[in-house]
Amino acid sequence: MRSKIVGWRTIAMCLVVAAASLVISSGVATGSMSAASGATVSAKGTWPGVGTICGPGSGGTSTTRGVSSKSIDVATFADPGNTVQPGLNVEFFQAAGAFAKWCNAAGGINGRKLVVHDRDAALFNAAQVTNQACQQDFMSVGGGMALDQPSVSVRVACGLGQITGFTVSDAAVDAALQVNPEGTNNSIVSAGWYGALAKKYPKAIKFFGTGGQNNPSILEPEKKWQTAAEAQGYRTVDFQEPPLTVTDWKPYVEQAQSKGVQALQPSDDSDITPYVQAMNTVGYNPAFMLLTTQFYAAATVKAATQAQFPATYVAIQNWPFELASKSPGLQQLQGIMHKYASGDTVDWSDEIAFNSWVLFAKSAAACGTNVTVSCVLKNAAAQKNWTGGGLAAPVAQLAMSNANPIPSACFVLMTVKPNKFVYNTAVTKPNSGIWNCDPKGLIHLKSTGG
Amino acid sequence: MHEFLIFTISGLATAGIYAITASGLTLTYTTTGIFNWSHGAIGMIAAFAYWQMRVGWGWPTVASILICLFVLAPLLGIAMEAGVMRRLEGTSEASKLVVTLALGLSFLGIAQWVWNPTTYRTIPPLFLGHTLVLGPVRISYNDLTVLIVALVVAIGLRLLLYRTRLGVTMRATVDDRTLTALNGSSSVANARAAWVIGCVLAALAGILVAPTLTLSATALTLLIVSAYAASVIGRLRSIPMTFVGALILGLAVSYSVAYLPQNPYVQGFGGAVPAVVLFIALLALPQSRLRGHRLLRSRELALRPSWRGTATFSVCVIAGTVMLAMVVSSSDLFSLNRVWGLAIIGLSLIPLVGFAGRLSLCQMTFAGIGAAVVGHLGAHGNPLSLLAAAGVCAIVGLLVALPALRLSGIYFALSTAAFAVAMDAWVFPLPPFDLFGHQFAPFGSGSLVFSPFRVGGAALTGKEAQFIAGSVVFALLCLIVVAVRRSGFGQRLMALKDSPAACATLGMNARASTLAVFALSAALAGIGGGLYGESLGSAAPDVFQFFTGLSILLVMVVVGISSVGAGVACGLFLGGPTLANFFPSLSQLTSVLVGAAGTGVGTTPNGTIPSGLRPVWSSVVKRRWLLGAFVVVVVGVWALRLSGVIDNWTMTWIDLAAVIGMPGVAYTVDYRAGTAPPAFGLPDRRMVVVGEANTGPRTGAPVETPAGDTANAVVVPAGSPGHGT
Repeated sequence: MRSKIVGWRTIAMCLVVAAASLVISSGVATGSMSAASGATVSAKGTWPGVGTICGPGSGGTSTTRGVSSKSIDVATFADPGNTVQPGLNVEFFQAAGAFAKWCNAAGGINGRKLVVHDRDAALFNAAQVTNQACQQDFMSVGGGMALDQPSVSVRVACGLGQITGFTVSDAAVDAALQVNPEGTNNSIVSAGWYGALAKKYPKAIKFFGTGGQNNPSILEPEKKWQTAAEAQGYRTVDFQEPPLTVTDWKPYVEQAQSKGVQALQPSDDSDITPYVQAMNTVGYNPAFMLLTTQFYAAATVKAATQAQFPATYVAIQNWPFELASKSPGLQQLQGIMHKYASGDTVDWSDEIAFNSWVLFAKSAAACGTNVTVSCVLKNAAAQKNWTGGGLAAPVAQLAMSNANPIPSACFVLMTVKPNKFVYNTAVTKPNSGIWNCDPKGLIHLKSTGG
Repeated sequence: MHEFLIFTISGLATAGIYAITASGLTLTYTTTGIFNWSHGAIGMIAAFAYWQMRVGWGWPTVASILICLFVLAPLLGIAMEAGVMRRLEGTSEASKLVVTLALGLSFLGIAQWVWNPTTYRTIPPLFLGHTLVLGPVRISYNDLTVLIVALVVAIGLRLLLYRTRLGVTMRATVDDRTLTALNGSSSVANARAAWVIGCVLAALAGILVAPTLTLSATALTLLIVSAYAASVIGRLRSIPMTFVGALILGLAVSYSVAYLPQNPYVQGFGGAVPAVVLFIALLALPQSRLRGHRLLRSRELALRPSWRGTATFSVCVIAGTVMLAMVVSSSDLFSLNRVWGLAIIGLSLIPLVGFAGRLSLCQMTFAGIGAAVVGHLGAHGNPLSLLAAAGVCAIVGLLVALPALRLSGIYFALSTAAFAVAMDAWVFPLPPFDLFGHQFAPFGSGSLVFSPFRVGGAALTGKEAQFIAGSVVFALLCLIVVAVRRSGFGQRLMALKDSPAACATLGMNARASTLAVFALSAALAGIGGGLYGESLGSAAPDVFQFFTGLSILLVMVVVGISSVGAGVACGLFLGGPTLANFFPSLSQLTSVLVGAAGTGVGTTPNGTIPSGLRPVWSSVVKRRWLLGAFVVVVVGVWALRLSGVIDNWTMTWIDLAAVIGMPGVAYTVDYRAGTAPPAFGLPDRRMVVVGEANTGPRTGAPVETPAGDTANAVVVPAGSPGHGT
């Protein structure tokens, strides 16, 4: 008898725990930030400056993997499930879901509905999730994995075409079967912002400190940035390679301070908050700090309310949200996110994701009923003056990633203030609309790397 | 010098957190005899609850902390004591270990369920922006707070244990539990107080550590687990020595960050420092005394399987796999392929845990080593690389077991955990290195790519072929495990589990047997790991991490750690796509279910197969006509599915109905014939205490001597031959 009573107690306890979990999780859900509102959404499947990309059609039979008469299975890669920086690029999944809903509401790609499969590499499982995508997906669109090097050979071997959000490692940058809407290239680096900041801080740049977290995928681009900076007059006095799992930044801040770094591009590649808090604790205040695109996010300006930042600039090649009123494409993006992913934050990752999705949808739609990887990639690579409909700096001619694409030289520099980014025209010195497109910003590197 | 001061202060702050958590652990262990593996997870839950109130709901910091520490943590402590821990009184050490591990895993699962693990969360440090400047040194108020709180805890615990009646009885319990009870002290009240204080201290540590890192359930739990080393330095009894241990640990971690060269080969070692300190502390423990001064029949009954039954089981496994391979979709088959690798890793636990009664928490690490060997040696698809993996893992297993051999119980388990964590943090992620002219890279540049095995000149590229081949390997290894159980070696292992002292008296070489079984188990895990890697196509070290290993161990214990069938259940449950297909949005369901089932192990110590499935199905098996009918139903439904008449779901439901219904039919037949047993089909869970019956009243869990020598109460299911009272 006793065992039965205990059994019921256990069941009752489980139910209580489950109920409590549900109550708490429903409370948690209401606590998150919401997407920007107020923008209009085209329901007809047209994208400003690009044309009609989604709409009804007859579909048609296909023998291509992931393509049926009614649907197209597409993979989106990101790393939100990792434990080092939970939620990393979860925006890729959110953007993919929202775009697919918007596109499907307009009729899909020639009548074929987009079915998005979120493939979470959680940093270390890039090859494994690529393998999973290889089982059922047509292509990979609008994603990116921080440690993407191991995935490249797997993806190419199984013929999974890709229109990528971003690529990190050398191997991924010039991989086959891929178009990058930003035209990223191993041997030509767009880095004009170093020159722009050199004009403002001519002395500080002689004491340049940089680095990246210790993984080949991350260090390769960081070393390219370093070369590009040195080509524009910077002199490196400190290059750090902290481990991926670092939690205490004080030793690294201490090292930068003791080496007299005045122009700092932190070796922290994820959240800048603990890094700047460590700077405050150690009492380190360089002349200026430069952050790359991934820091153009709400977390950075929120950190500026909690810690004392030095003069800090974020270099971006996306259209700034602060200037959204001048970009119908960005307004449409915000409207779609508001309508289909209400509650999700919208930041730079959504811009690069939509840039890829718009390019994919336009290229796939142009293939008609016979959607194949080579057709989609060929159409994508043929685009001229591509901006994703006002989401990114213009790329004169897209190309396959392994066909030497030339990235855009254009950039803007944003200043970090508490709770906001400010478009800094004084340092950016725009010469083409909002952008500084000085061709000297394109640095040709000697070796192409791996 | 300046740098040294900064890192000393940083180390002291870390030491403070370690001291708080480790003293809580030590307090509960000394008072209740239960080493609480879920201690780290409790701290993690507290950190998340604090985040929810402080950041999520924007409550004031002080209110959030007070609610966490003085409302939630004590409630959790009382609930744990009443709901779980009290029921562990008198169970074996292995049960306690498994139950607290399961509890920890449940907490992990619940935390990840409630707080979506793909959301980025941070907690601002206390007194943000305030720094104390002492000459050249700057100390943040957050670090200062940690130091002060640690001191207050130290003084508070001292006062509690020496100046209050509760403290005195708690200390008395440590010295002599029975005597304390005879003097009128309530062991339940003591235990409750210990759990409450333990939970509060774990929560305090969780709250203090939270601002220093991004909130991640596994990372937080592991960080607090690091503090176990401090408890071991205090030999799980002495709170002052625990504080000394925390100091050593905190400074070691801090100085390793500061002074280890910035070299990719050495850097990862920093993360492994707590595990290494733990390992060294364990080795410094005195030799454990041999158990056996009381009648001791451990609760797990490992029945001797027959060859005929095993052969039938193996044939069924392979036939079932072939049938399944022909009907499931290709993406489900990709997931299903993982089943056999995981099943074999589960199987590898049977000789070690089921037969020899030694708990290993590093089986997944051996699987990782096996995968690395197969990934490198099997680059051209050579299936013999699986044998090489077995060989390498056996050797590594020997090297790990050799120093740990003298430890018993939780200390042995702790040493295997230390090995697993050190391998996860340092060795597996190592970049390529040259040794004796060869390049080694455990997991290449982050991920190993596996080529399909080649058998008889043809590569097993098809998922179906790989799935079936996996089942054949599993079936063969089942035969090996059964052979071990039936051999003299297996009987020696069982004897060792029951009474090491008796074995030693009879002149048995206990060390050789333990070493052999550890090596065998490591070898099996290595084969499983290799096969698991093959099924994934490519694998990163992340796949073989410590926590995954815990899930496997728990599933095996819940299903029946001495039955080879548990391997199949383990593989299907953890690797199969069923749960994910049913509940796509509840990815944490697996660990919550495993944990919840594991906490019930105290009541069904033998697992589901021996106490549930086998008695129920034996009545079906002994009626050939009923068994025949079952086979006809399964094969018939499969044939219908193959011809496209029904879909996979219908097939699954009908098969499930047959599995559940057949014993019902048998019962009906028995009932009509008047031969149905009264408790037919239900495992008899009545527990009878043997051994302590003549030694006075049961006064809760016994106290363990420093080296893990446990005087165990003995619990066996009623009706076991020769052990009823």
